[in-house]
Amino acid sequence: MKGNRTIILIAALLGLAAVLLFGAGWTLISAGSFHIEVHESGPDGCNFSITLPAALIQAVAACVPDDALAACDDEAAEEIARWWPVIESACEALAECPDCELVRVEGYDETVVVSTRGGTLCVAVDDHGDRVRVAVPVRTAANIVERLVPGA
Amino acid sequence: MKTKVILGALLLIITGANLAAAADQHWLHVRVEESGRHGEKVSVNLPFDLIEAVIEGVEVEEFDKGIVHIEDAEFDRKLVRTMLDVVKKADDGVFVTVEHERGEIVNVAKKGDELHIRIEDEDYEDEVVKVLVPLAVAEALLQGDEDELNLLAALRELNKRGPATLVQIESEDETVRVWIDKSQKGI
Repeated sequence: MKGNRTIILIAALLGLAAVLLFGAGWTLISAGSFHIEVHESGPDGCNFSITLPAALIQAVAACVPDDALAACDDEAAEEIARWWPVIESACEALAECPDCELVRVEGYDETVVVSTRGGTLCVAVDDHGDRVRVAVPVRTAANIVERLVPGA
Repeated sequence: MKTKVILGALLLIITGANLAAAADQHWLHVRVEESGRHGEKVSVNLPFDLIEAVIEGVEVEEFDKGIVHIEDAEFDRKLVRTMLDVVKKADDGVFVTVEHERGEIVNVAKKGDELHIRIEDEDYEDEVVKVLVPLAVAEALLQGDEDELNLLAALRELNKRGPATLVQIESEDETVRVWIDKSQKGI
């Protein structure tokens, strides 16, 4: 009997751990990732690629004290506050938007594409062999920007 | 086995509901194509939900959540409303034809509940401009106070009407098309 109780207890603990891990993983995945990639053509070209989980950036931003944010450029904070309702509405609408190509500009040797994919705003620029890729999970980005809005 | 079937069915229903919701959405498309080997091409596809959300969020001096404030408006609103009412009740036909000395011809006609404006300019790259103005959209634009234009109401009316080509410009150098349909990529 005692042995059965122990097994049930261990199984319950393992199950709880599995649920917590699954929840953490789901949060991480659903928050998306910030991605920046730059490739410059030529021998001296700059090349780098950064991918950061949005949940990580959100967690770091949450740790920044409000005092530090208040010390930021007042003019910039005012502008953000002024346009915050538009930013918030646009981000919400973009997050709900089905995966699609919003804008494409094709010129001679240059292409710019803005698209949405799973709640992430993606910008791809190809210019004479140079390449820039940026991916921003819009909801997470909006949450981070909201911290800069005074009184939000 | 039963569980798998039920889960599979639920997944299908959820996917179908999402697809149906996406399919119901109207999209505003803009295409600009410049002719020539190095001509630039621009393609814009915007869901109406996104356009409405952005317009509703903008709150600046002359633009308040879709309402445009015009100070010292130079047009007589009552006159425009009266003209719209008259046009609505009138039979289909060409209302206005203006021919300029420089070769520009402007044509305004009514077809059903729409105003069709056509401008041909032989002197300027053989340009032909066609603009479609649904009368209901023009009326929605005039909703509100005397010094206001209700852009949001006009947009919603446009969304309600459904697929239509709103602007078409054809010249030697470029073609421009603005239209609404239910496809994400535009037909």
